[in-house]
Amino acid sequence: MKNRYSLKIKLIFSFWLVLIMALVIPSYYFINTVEDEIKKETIKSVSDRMAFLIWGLSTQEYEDLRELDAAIRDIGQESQDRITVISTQGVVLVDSMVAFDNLDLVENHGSREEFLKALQDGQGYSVRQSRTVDRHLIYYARNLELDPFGTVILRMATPYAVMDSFFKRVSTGLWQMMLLSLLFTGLLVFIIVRILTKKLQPMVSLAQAIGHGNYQKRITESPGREFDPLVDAINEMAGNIQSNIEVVSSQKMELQTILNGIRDSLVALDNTGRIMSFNKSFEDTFIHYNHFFGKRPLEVFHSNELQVYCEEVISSDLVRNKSLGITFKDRHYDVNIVSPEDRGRIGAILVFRDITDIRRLESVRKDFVANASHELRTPLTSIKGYTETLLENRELFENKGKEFLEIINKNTNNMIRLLDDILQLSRIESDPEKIVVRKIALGPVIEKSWKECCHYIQDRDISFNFRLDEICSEAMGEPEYLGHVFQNLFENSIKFTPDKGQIEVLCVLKGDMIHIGVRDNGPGIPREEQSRVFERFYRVKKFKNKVRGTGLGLSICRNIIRSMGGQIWVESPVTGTNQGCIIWFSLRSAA
Amino acid sequence: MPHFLEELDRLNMKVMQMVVQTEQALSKTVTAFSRLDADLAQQVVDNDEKINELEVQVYELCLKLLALEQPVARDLRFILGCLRMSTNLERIGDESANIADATIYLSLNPPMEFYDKILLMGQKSYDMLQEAIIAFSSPDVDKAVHVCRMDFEVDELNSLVLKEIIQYMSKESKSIEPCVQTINIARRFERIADMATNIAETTMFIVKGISLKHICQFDDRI
Repeated sequence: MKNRYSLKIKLIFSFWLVLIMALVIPSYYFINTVEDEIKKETIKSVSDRMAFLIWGLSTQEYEDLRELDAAIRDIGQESQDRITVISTQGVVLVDSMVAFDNLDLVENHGSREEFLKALQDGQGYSVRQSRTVDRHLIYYARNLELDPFGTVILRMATPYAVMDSFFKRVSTGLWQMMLLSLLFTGLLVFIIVRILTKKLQPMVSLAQAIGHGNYQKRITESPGREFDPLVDAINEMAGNIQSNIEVVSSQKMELQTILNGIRDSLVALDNTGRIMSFNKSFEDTFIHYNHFFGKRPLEVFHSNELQVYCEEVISSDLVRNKSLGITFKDRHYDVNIVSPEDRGRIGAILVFRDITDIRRLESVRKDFVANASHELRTPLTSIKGYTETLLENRELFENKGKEFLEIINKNTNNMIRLLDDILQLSRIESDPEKIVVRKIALGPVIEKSWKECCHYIQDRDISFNFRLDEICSEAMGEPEYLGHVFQNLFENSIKFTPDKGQIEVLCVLKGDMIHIGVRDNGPGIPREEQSRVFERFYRVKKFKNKVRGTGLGLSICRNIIRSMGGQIWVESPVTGTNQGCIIWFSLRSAA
Repeated sequence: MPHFLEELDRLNMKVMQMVVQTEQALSKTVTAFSRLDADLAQQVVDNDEKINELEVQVYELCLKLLALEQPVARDLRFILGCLRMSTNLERIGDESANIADATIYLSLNPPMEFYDKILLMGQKSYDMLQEAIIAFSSPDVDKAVHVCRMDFEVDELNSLVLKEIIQYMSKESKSIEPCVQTINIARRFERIADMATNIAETTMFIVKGISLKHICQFDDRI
């Protein structure tokens, strides 16, 4: 709401109006009264003088008009009055201001107001502008018997000058006074308004500060008692806003904490289908983006279906809930799209549940049973086959008995090794507390493990080197179990590394964890199988029939490393190259 | 929202639809090749039409915006970028369909030992495309530069694979036809990687306003 006129202008005009009213009405009254009084006074003095004049005139004898003229001029010289003698017909007989010879030129005075009154009532007067002299004059006329002229009208004209100058003085004075007071009030109003606005300024700026979110501020002084209610109202409003804001923000914090605590990713879309807000889990899961705000689901999740569903849920009044599965960056999500009952700013909420692990676990369980029974059954079948043959065929027993028994023995050893592995695995799994970590030197552990694996190399040319920096020469671990880990990793590397291969132990310090990697330049692990190699009995398909193994090695490693508080993962192919593989695992640093 | 911005948004969504279609096509192609799955490959071939259709739509929308709105600065760059993007995406779609075609042929033959390396090429080119797309839709210049760098790895793999296949062919003259198909597939993956690089360069063009065609292959400064 904008005011077209400022308070200053409004105040000035109203002051001026009041002032003009206050000045004009009394002046009018005053002037009128004074004018009346002066008029009365003047007329009285004129009539007095007239009495003298009549007495003066009637004491003399006149032969003719010329003598009367001389007498009038005599008297007229003494005063400024103009004396005229008029016949009852209105003809000017003599005039003290007009030469006797020129009287013919003077017009008939029969129609003059004072003359008519005098003729009628014996005396009369009138005030008017004289045509001969440019002044206000009072004409006073009286009936008179004058010998030898009979009845004549004697008229005396005296200037009304007193009145003229008086009014002139008074009115200029009045005007000046009025102008002066108008100027003065203007200035006064300007100053008053100035002071008022100055006093109001803190209030204004405070209200603005409150509007900008500075709710702690309060108005302490009021520009005047009249403003006290306003000040109180503003302070109360600020207090209410502050407490409300505090409540709202604490509720928001609570809600945010709850939302951030949820493992599922939550995203809120506004009513145009753009991302409005999201929780922490979402931010962590989809870190590939720098800024999600204002993006559409299609841009972030690269799924047409999701976009279409979102649009449907946001725009439709019937469909309030939809769910679908999407795959993004090798992970599977179950997405539930919900639209709130009352669509204000929020158009829809997307809930992402990561079901990758659930799916994987399902297939792991399925595979485990199949694999375990297969791995156990294969050697048993072979043992059973050979034993039965030997039992039934005596001739064969004598000829090839030793050979067959060696095969049986080999398979039995295989089974024992497999069962050993399984036992070790279940021991670690059932009692991870048994592994007590302490500060150990890594160098000797690695060397010892390598020595125990050397015999796998046979006649191939494989170079081994490890270089531990000062910072990661020690770590928190358990030497015997860590030895198992290294042995398993070295065994794998040796198995898969071609002739003239290289095996290397790498080490980097990342925060308070030491990352140790065993690198080889073998064929690597296909990407889609990388997440599965740590499963029990899982073996890379390509090498399943070429390279011997139980498929439990890495699984054991993972269990050991986990109970030492670390992680294990695969990098293949080695970053920046197109081959090889690094099995990384982390241990807490000793420092 | 003003009309022009609305139209730009529409263009963006169209390009993103195309991106998604192309990404899925390449992903399916790689999977189909890894499993030598003819059915999946056929899906890619069938779906290529949709990508072509989207390209036409994007092209028309771009032309309309250029002609009617006379955009300047970033908007202009965005529209030009979308034009380039759509061309590249359509080419990627075509190459995917071609690879899928070859995969259908190869699925009738026993797998050969160098398939792994080609699969790796496919996966890397897919990674590059994904990164390039994220760089485009973010938009994120650092990611775009990263995509450019990844191109080297694919190029290297390509030459490695080529050598291997030639050696193999000189030994086994019977399987020359599948080998030639395989060479084609490798070259196409390499082309896809190049086009992903182009997309990344387009992103840099849109964001920074500098034309960086092929620069990141020579210049280490960016």
